[in-house]
Amino acid sequence: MATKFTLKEIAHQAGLSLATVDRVLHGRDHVRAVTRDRVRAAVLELQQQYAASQLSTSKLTIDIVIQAPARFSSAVRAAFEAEFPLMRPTMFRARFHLAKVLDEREVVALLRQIARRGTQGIVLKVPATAGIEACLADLSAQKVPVVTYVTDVAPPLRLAYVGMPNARAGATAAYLLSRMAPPRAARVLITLSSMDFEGENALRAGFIEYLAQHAPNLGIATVSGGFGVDRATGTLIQQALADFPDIRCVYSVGGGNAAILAAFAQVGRTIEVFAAHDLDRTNRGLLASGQISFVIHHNFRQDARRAALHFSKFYRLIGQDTQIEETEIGIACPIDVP
Amino acid sequence: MARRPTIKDVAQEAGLSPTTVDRALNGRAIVREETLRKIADAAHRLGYHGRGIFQTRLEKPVPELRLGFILLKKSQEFYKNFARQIELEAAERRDVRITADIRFSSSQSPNEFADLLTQMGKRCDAIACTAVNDQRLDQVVQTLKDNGVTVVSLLNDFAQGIRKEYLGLNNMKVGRLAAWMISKAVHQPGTLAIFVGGNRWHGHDLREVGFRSFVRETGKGFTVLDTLVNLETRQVTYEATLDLLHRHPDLKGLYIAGGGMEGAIAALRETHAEPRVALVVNELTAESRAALIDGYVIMAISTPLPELCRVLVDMMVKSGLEGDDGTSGQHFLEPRVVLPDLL
Repeated sequence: MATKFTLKEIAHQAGLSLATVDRVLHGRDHVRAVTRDRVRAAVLELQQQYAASQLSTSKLTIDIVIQAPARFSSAVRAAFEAEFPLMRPTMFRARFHLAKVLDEREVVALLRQIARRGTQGIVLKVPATAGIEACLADLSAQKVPVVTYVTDVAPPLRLAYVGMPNARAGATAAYLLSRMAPPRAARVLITLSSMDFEGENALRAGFIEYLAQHAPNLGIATVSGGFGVDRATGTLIQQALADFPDIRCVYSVGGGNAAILAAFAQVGRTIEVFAAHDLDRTNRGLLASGQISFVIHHNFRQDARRAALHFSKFYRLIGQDTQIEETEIGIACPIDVP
Repeated sequence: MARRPTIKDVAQEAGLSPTTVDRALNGRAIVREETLRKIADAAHRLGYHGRGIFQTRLEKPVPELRLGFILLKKSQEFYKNFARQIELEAAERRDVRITADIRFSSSQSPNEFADLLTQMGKRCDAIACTAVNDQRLDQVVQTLKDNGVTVVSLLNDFAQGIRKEYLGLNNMKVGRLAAWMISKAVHQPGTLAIFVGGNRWHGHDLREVGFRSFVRETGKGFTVLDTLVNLETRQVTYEATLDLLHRHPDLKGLYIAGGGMEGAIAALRETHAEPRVALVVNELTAESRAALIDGYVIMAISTPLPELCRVLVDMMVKSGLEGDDGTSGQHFLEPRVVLPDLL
């Protein structure tokens, strides 16, 4: 049995003495059959680990750029940190760039800086403004793969989109909300964090389209610009409540849900159906206490995995025919908080 | 001194490139078994010093397991999908060679389940079974356990205290979920009804309890009628639903806790030109999908089959290879809420 490992290594792996291992390797007598098997198994183990350590040569460093409230960013970060180490044999490393609010200039400056320093891929959740799209066109010319997350940009500018199919998720929210709302005229307040996120606009469009076709008794009113931050959201909601006395349901796309509930309570108005997005800690609590009727959500860890697979495919580390599934639309209700 | 044979010599002898031999020798990439055999033979003939490595690679034994699965009605789409998913999952395992023996019980009779379990117990290393709760089955499962064959209760928790694991949904929660949706979608107080598959399904009983307790908690003035039994058949459900609608024209909501939903969908379609009853069913099939789209079903609660089969095969392989470690437990999967495909 010839091997490339030293006697010492094999003896250590097998838990036997040097003399025994020597007898086995050189086919001498006075060794039981079981002991021979044990040595053979030890050599096999060493070989397998050697192969694995040789395989994991490709390393990819990915920059993750997210503009969102901290509750969202930290959940995304945790998901990437949990999934990247599992992506064998390619080694993924993440650099995080997370911010609550970024203006267009800051996003462009950040992206340019990342490209200059060198990156093997970017996961991006920022508004799709003209300036940012122009910057993405440059990145695409430099062959930097970009995966948009949760909110998309024009398809030629990115490698792939990961996140729920937003128009369908919006329609799903509208279906449940219209089923649950009493069958009389009322208005649904839609809250967006800003008008610039393509993802939020697509959710809103899907929602409105479904209501227009199937629930003409429900009108809508939209507020935006709270950036999911409680204080800014609260002020906007108060104004909307003053303008529209018939608001009885809420579809919160942008978050800041505790502030939305507080604003209604302040003027003594009730919410008949409250639909929200994402299973963060606040929403879990509000769902359990019945203040939110249901939550549309998706699995962040699966999304992190999908993003990594897109990059692996781009760098031809996995087969080009590998299917990467679309993100599933999850629905959580008060008795089913996962 | 005679020159020691090198990779080049082995490659030439085997009629392959040195690269391939190098791959096989140093484990750089996967080489087909057939190729590996060629190299090993050549290495042996030449007395190549690394021949032992190829031999070990070839001899690496793959354990074999025979796993038994007992499901219900073969004619139903849900169980057909279930069987297909089990086969897929079993075929995907590289670390063990699995023979999946899948049988279907044609009835709900404990005797048939007992016969199937006993028959399969003679040949299988582990069995997963969807069966009714009955003392006769407890005895059979105990005998299997004594003979070292572990049994996993699937979807319905039978032979409790004897079986190895329960794998399926949390049925109490499923019942509550159905009641939540109906109580939210119905806006005036009225009559609700629930069908269960039979009297021997613990899982259906749990769904019923969950459903009733949630309705009671809402305090919205709903009345839940006496539970109806449909034996999970389309025809019985169809006739019973027609009768129900005749006797209770104010019926507001209906939950089919077991099989037979197709009958209820047909009866509602026939009686109401527009959907008027909030119907919740289990599992997504072509028929429940169609009814979701035209509104006769408001929600379907489905079992995540791919995830379930992955966990199941894992569980069975583990107990098949390692034997019974004496512990037992239950593994709950999250129920999936299915709404119409809207766009």
